[in-house]
Amino acid sequence: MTRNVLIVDDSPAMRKVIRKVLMLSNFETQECFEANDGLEALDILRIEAVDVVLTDINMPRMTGEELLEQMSQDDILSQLPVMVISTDRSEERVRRMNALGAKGYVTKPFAPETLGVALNELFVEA
Amino acid sequence: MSVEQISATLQTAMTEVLESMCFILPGEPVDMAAFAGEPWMEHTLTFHGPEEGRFGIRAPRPVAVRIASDFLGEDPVDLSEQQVGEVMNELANMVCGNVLGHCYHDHAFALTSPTVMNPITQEQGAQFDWEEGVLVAWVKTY
Repeated sequence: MTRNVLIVDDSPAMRKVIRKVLMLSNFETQECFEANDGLEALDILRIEAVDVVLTDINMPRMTGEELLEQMSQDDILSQLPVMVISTDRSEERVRRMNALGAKGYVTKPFAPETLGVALNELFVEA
Repeated sequence: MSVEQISATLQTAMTEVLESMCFILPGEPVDMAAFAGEPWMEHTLTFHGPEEGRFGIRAPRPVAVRIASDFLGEDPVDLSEQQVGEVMNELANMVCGNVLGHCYHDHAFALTSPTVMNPITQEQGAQFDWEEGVLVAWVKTY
């Protein structure tokens, strides 16, 4: 089954890498949307049919943590699976993001195959 | 934690990031004469949390282009100056986050968006060498 993915990261380079990794993985991606921060992500989520959100944490205007908070307050968006992709590997941060509803957490740097595996696991669990 | 202790993890962090994201493995030091007269690119950010400080990476421009090419999977001649800068920014972000993760397992940090440092510093924390280039990283705490 193909999925629509939203990549939220303020680094265009990282968005490009994630997009390429997705295309090369066995996770079947139909459409790949991109947002520079949480605010842009919310705009896209309100108009596009997104199946999963991949978000960084440290971003200008609205962080990944704030994005999760906003999504958790919305009846529809709170149902969307969110996977965090961040350099922050601290237990404190992982706990905090999980508490806000994140369904997966991949730390940067990551091996290319890691992301596809994590995403497939996410939908098997769902 | 002392800046020396944090700096001790720089090598490990650079190795992990370059291996995972660029498929670059450590090797014999390159002849630095090859980069004589080449400009260097330096990108820095600040981190805030249980420790406050500044982190930076720098490389000769041709090396930065090579890293960007490996990172993005693009031919070096197709890369714009902006793309090379964006990859150096992301590299700074990942190496710094990796260093802090090694040093402070249970504490979250906020990292600012990396920016270009101009003129470049002479700061030296650790150096990653391979056959085709060199990457320098440094960290300072306040």
